[in-house]
Amino acid sequence: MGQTDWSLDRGTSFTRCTAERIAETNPNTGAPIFPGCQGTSEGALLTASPLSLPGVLRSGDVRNYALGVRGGGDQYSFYANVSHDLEQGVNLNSEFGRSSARANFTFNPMDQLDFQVNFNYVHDRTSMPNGNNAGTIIQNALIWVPGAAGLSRNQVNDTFRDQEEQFSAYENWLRGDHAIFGTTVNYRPATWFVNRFTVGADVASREAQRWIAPGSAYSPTTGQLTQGSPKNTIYTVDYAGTISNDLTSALTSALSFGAQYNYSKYQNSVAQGSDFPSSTTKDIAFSTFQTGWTELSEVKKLGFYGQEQIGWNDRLFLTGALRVDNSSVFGSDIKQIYYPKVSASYVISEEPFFRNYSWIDQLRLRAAWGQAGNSPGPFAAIQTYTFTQTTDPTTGVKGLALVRNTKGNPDVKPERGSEIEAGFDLGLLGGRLGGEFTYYDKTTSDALVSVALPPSQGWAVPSYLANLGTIKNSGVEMSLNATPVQSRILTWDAQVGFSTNSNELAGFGLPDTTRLQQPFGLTALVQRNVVGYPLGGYWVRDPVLTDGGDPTQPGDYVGGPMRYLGPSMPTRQGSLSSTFTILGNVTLYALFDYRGGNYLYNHSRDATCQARVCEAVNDADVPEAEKAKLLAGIQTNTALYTEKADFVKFRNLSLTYTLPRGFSERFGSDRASITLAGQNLGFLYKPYTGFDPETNFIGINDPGAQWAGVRVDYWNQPMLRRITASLDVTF
Amino acid sequence: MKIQPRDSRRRWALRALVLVGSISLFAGCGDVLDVDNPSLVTPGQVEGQTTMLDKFVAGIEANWRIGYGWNASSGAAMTDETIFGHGWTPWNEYDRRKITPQGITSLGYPFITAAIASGELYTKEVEKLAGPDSLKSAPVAAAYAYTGYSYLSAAQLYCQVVIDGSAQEDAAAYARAVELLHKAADVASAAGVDSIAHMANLGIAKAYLDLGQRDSAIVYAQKVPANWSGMWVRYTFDADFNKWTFYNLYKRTAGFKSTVEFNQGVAPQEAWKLDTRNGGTLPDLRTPYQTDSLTTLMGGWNKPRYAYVPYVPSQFSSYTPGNSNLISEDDDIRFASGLEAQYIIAEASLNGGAGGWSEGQVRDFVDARRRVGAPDAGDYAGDDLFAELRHQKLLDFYLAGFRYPDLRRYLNQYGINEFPTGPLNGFVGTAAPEDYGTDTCWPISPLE
Repeated sequence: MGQTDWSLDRGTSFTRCTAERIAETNPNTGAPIFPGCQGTSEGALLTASPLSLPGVLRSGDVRNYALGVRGGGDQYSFYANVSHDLEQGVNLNSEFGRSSARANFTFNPMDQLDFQVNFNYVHDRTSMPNGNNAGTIIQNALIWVPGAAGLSRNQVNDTFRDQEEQFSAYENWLRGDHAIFGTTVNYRPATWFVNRFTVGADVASREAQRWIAPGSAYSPTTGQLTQGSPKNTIYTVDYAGTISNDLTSALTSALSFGAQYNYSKYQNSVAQGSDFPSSTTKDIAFSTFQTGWTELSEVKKLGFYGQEQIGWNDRLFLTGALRVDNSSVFGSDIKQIYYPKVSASYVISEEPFFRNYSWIDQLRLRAAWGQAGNSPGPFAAIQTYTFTQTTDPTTGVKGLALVRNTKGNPDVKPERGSEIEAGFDLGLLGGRLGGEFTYYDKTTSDALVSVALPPSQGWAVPSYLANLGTIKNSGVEMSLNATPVQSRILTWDAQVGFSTNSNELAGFGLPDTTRLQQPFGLTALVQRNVVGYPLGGYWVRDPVLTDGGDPTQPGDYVGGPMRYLGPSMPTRQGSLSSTFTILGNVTLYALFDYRGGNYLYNHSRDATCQARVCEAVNDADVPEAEKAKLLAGIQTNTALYTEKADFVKFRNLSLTYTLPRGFSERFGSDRASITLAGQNLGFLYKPYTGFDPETNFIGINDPGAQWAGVRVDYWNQPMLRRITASLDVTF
Repeated sequence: MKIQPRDSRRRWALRALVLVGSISLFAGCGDVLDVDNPSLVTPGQVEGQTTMLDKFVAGIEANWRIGYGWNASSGAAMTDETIFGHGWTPWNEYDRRKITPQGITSLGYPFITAAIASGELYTKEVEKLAGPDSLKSAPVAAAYAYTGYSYLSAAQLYCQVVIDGSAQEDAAAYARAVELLHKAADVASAAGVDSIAHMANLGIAKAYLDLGQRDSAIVYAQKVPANWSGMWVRYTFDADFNKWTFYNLYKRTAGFKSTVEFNQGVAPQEAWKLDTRNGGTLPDLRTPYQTDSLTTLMGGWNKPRYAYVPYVPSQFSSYTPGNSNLISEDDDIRFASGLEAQYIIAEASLNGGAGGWSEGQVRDFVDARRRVGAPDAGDYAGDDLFAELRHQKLLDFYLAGFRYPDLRRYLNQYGINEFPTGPLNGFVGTAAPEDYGTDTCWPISPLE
């Protein structure tokens, strides 16, 4: 069963029945704007929590069934597994279902040769709620105006009513078939010569449909049906070999080499109809306006590498490597790219002088420097036109118009990341205590940045990618694991992890920094890429009272100068987990997560305050001047709505009971266990006033997304709280 | 043959073989990276292709058309035609007459400038494709005409215009517009395409009127037949709704009857200008609006803001006199007509232009226009006549993208300021939160 942490008990929107609101009437009809305030005393506080109304949200079911079989003989082994998952979202029309089958087969006909064959097939179906920025359930709930007339100031309450009808007016689903096939051959003609050859195919074929019924609250209100069939195909061929030499009795040499070829293809055909006569005629042929288009892109990559590793007494290893890449996405002027790498690893605990420290199991020191690349998108290098639909101004006949589309950049190439890292791995007390520490410093040169073009050049895509930027990332990563208690009755394993990251746009590469594209869309008000500051950092304005202005009047404030507030991505992350094993068959596991050092623009609160339904502007204890600042206007007071996003979350708790072996065997099983688990159970620390500072309106981990760096709470749903019970039986 | 582990020479030979093999393989693998991307349209696929002639011309018109839709909406917000309920930059900047360069970048500006850029580029391609017939080619005439209108629109809307990569004063854009429109008129006449010839002459007349060259304005306006029904900016559906021709006017007028769209409507304080019938108590037949309901505009301010819903005005394709229909998304807008030419002659004549009409002829014209919208005639003279001429033009071309350039010209040429001033319109029973700004033109993008 699932449930989200909406914190609905206190209400999510508020109306204070001031004298002005009690008296306010529609100037045309004379009807009161706030009928709910009529008959109440001045100062009465009305609250509402529409998300808790019946039929708005639900506790969705989560089910998972899996069956696996494993076996083999002297020269072969196999494993097969089938599973089925069903997960309902909290919105009535959100659901995810998946059926999958997986099989691995290994065959080793002789000592020098073995084959591995893997096959994985997944069929899934996803139904998604409306993600548009208008008409979402959360938005309509949060700006509900308690006590207002049906057609209120923001015309919201009527939309929210009949929510089930609105759910049914929106349908957005994706059905997919995904097959992955791979085979690997390992051939070892001699102990000093090993080879691995892998081929793979990954084919994902999907059907997608989005239906917006005419007359619904969603846009376009005249109805729209979009159908697509995206297909991704990836083929890979990979060879790796190693030749080992003993140079002397103490020195060893290992030459590794290999090549990879990767082919990926994306194709899609989309048909769309708009303006439907009724909600029951769900066929594109019955729409007034029909359009369709196809999408296709191919990318090919070829890479070679060579690596030499020198070992000394099995404790000191020095490695040097060089990689060469070429790709169809590189500009026409780019032939190949080279990436060097060197590293050293020293197991100092193997030295004779360490034998006096018997409590140290192992201490390994390591350091590395290397370069790697990140390629641009498939068409970044190419200048293109595109066709757009048009209508002849004289005849009214529909036709095509040729429009300049992308400028392209024939010099575009992968950005190059150079990273230095150093650290150590430590094991103590016979494995009871251990840890790792790494410091890293990465500089990305030739970073791919989007350069804004002068609009007067007339490109439909107003920017192009260029290798201009310099981006720096540095920080530490450390972890500690310990077994403080180890006995027949109780074992306690604990892990602590902590990491930091400092991110900075160190350079742009052009003197005119206005050319640095600010791809933030929704958060253009508050996010900036500025040289010398973190990428996508928050830049905010404070409300400043105008000369002679009345501090209680929102209109008397203007926006102060934009100032840097802080990063939008966490600069610190940590986790603390413990596993308690009691009497060998009861296991209790708990995990706490921490993230912090960053901020999040709380658009939801900004908009609810502007709509005068947030708690602060209806709180009698908040000074009028503070309310005025909150109401001062969406461009003048972003400092008030960009909040610290630190949190400590109780992420996981699970309890597993392994049934006594004798009991299991009565049912013919080798092992059986029952687990009760919970995820996202609550916050231990959260200064942020919104639901969940961990969420973001747009997926930030998709570098291909248009607004990849956007960080905003835009009517976000909090992370789902999930409670599961599972039974695991092994035969 | 199994290699012996102790055969060191063979190991080194194998290493050398790997090295040479890798280099050879990499050097010889260039072709394996060739890809096929048929959905891309590269310059080599379209330039020099005669089948693309009409597509190039349509490309100029399409950009200008989309920009026209945006600017008709923003221009209405900038003037007394409508108020505009939206809390976010850049939309509210037009409503407040406080327009920043940052705000300009994302609305109609890119399309108008793209029309100029593609116009300059495409006209050369179109001339080349038309070959020896280019001086009597209808597509060449259309390419000149729409490129000229793109310059004209830019000059009428923006404080400066970027020409050949540098920001220049409006006069340079007007000059380039006139040059291109002369070519358009000549080629269209030779090609026998009257509509383009009329459109070009009208454009020249508009440019001269804006520049204060009223004698010339009259000359070219008189070349346009008074009964010419005109040219249309046509509705075109696009999967990208930002490119719907009249997305803004449709969404923000008709759309604001729904609960989730932006909104744009007649300010209660300005509605009297549309009321000409029944002694000034009923809307003019050309500018009907929903008088029985004041609707609250969508957010942006901390108190309710009210407007009347406009119905289809007279330059829109679905117009019928005195209708009570919301503007539909597939309405076309007439952007050039013989009627506009008549207004140019009247205005230029009243303000000293030679070769045009007498004051009596202007009065007759004004009276005729009054009778179109209301049954009465007036008896105006002098400044009052010019004021009524301006009023009638507001009514005849309501929401069709004319009012903002007209107000700029009234201010620049005659010192008459009819931009909204004082407290923001739309607030009823409560004080407006701020006063209108003083902007009279739109800045160009800071990215120029």
